[in-house]
Amino acid sequence: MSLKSHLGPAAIVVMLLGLSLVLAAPQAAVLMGNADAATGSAMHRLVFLNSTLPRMATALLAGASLALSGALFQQVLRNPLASPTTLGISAGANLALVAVTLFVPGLLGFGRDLVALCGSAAAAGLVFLMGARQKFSPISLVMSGLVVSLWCGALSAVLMLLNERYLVSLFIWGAGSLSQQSWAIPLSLAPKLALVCLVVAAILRPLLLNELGDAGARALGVHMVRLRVVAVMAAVALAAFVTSAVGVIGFIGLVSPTIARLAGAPRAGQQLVWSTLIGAALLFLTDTALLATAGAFADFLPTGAVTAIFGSPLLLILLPRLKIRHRLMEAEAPVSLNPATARLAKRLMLPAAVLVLAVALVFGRSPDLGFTLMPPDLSGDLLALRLPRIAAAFFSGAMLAVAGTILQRLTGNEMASPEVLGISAGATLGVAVAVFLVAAPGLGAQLGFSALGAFAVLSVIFLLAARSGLQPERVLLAGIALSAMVDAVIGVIGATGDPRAVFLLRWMSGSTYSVSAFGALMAAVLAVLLISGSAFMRRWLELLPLGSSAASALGVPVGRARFLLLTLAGLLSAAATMSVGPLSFVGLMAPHLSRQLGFVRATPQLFGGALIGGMLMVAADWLGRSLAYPYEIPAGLVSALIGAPFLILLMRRARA
Amino acid sequence: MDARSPDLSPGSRPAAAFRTEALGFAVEGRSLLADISISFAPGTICGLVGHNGSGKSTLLKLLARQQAPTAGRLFFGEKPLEAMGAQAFARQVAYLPQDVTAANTMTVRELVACGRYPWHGALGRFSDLDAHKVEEALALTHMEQLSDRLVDTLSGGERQRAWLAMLMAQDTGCLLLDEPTSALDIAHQMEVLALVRRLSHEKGLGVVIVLHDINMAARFCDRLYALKAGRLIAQGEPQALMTADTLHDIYGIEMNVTRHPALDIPLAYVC
Repeated sequence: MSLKSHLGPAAIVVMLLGLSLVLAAPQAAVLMGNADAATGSAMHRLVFLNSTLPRMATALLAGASLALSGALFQQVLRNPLASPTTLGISAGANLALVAVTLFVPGLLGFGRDLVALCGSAAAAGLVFLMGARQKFSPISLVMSGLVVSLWCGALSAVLMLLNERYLVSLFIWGAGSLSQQSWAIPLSLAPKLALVCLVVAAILRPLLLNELGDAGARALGVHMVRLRVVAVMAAVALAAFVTSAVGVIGFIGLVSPTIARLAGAPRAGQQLVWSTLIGAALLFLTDTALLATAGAFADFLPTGAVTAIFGSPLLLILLPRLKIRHRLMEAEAPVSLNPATARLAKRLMLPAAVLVLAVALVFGRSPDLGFTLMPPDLSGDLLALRLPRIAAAFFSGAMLAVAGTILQRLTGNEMASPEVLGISAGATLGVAVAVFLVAAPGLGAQLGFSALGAFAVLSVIFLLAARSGLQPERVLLAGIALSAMVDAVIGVIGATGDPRAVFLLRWMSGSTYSVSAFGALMAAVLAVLLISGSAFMRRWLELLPLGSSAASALGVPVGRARFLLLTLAGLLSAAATMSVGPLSFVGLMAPHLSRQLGFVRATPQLFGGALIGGMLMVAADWLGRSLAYPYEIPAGLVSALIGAPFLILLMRRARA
Repeated sequence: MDARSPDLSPGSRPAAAFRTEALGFAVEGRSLLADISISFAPGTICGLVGHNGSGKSTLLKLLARQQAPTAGRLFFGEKPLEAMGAQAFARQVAYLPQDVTAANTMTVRELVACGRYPWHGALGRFSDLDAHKVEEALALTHMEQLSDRLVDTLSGGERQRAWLAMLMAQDTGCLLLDEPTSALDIAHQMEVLALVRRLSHEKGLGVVIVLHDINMAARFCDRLYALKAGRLIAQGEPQALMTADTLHDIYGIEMNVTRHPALDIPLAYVC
């Protein structure tokens, strides 16, 4: 290896470390210089030695681990977007830790790292299972990772919501706080990191051959499957150790290998080494900068959230440079096109929807905890309570389903959904702003702000992807980056411990119980308007999956069609988010179910999906108010938590 | 533009064809195509041949308006290409991309019906005429038996025929085909090219086709255009173009030409 190719990355490491030292120097100098002069500084010195120094060490170690993990993922999967954050690995570890902390704290004594490992391994397994369906195409894999990540986040959120006592501290830790009280964490992290480094060193040689491609490497005698398994396990372990020690720290694992590559470390081995060093320096710099600027507040401002806030725009900047080599191909599940089933489904769809609505309306739980029909003498009161929420749930579900159908047909990617596009995250951000600007935002204010947020995100996505003619892959990637950033901002808000964060969390979990008659009416009107609008574009939805050249050869104005369809999907998801929250996954599930039932063409899939989405949401709402009666579980969360695993099962079965 | 009259079938339409004037295309300063001036004759099969990267697919993409030229002008009939609306253009010119998105849960009939889009547009009714044209296209390509099969489940040759049927339903006077036989074995190559030739003759269609195999091109095309490094270096009827010298110019290796033992067509081979 020539010395020259090391110059770039080395310069970057030196620059990052130099900057951090400049930032950290005044603090250290004041403390150390005064140490023997004044007795009062003994305390400062103690703090410096036992809190500040360990914090620095933790930052270096965690940064190095995450960067190495990301670099490994990127090499093995040959995917420039892979990282512990984008593949949902960190979120999986986080969820496992939260669940165990709340329910079986005894297990933590058994091994905190083990719990994290199980969580992240499960997340990795899930993501790879879904990725295998689309032949590990980079974008599909990242999309699956994001969905898993969002799902784990949703589940962690509801667990915390149900256990508010622990809420604040879990929030801070979960968002990746580096603050330390002793040397315990860095000292335990170091040997684990060293161990994994040894493993990586052992597989370095064969890993270099990975770039030759499967057949080429195999011809040279490399056992590809074993190599991949070992490398992925090492990467998962690194991410799990860090998450277990300091929580989720976003984007270091994505950004560092990218910087190493751009700085001119072309070969696999160099990239691994330099990404690790750059990662360490990068997190160190972020943390010292945070300490220097935030002062006393720094202990409560999680560094992990800050890296995500700064990391995701970087991802956005890098997007146009990224060559998307793999074409997106919809590896569709072989749909059982039994015409009889399809006909039956078509005939039963409407009656089924009516039945679900009726059951949800009249069936409920009585004060003595049994299930009863609605007593006639209470019908007026109960209807007034139930009708708005059921209507809101139904129409929101339908809108999400239509948005999901549009996005999936537009992108040819079966993991596309409003959640993934970042529109929902934008709406959440809008409400977050509303919560902090207006003392007690009413429905109107919430509505306005969330629509504003959704549109802000949508316009940023349009601006970023416009140069590529709104190429669906770019739009999705921009959406992913933006939702990660919004998530991080919300994480920071949550970590402040402000009571308003609880309100926000509740809104995010998608509760229908506060929906007023006006809100329901609004949802109904918007749903009817927007869904009939999408029916006007059915021909485009039919033709765009043929590929952009075939579609434009048929006279479809591809750019304009994409713009209109994306706008429509944005409007639909923003409108639905108002009443069922940003995370329900109905937009992901309903189009799939619709297709599985035999509604393969655009128009039937749209309307079948809309009915299914509505039914799903109504069912989730009913379950939410019946399951834990007299308490309520928010409808959005119910559908996310029950629906997403169900969907994965369904997809697995369809493949078999 | 939306006036629809059933008698606008290609037979009664004055045949129009492409004409290029000093056409050029460059990406980031690198010229892929330069100074191409061709008048394609209407109602004939014109083959574009050349080595890999010679610009033949690029030329076809410019004709199909998939890309805009960076130099020169393009006409269809008397009209400059840029003056035609997307739908109006698609009513006159059909284009088959090189890699068609194969994975599709459409049936053959549904795929073929997609070809009617330029006629009914985003909102128009799918009329009896549209349905009639779809049936006609299925019959022309002998796809009736397969019309309810999923495109996914077809063999490579059948899939190309299904796409050609879609182009037929589009009911244009001109076809642009980008290596329609690239992934097919020799039997299916013959099948697809014979179909193209028959369709061209039965409906009087003009065809511009990119072909890899010079012998296939000589056998099925009325006229050949040879490109090398982005420039047009030879053109003419296959009989005239297939000489040892010209082939050497095109491919840069020693080649020679013999006669087909049974048919009156030239066969090129590498020395």
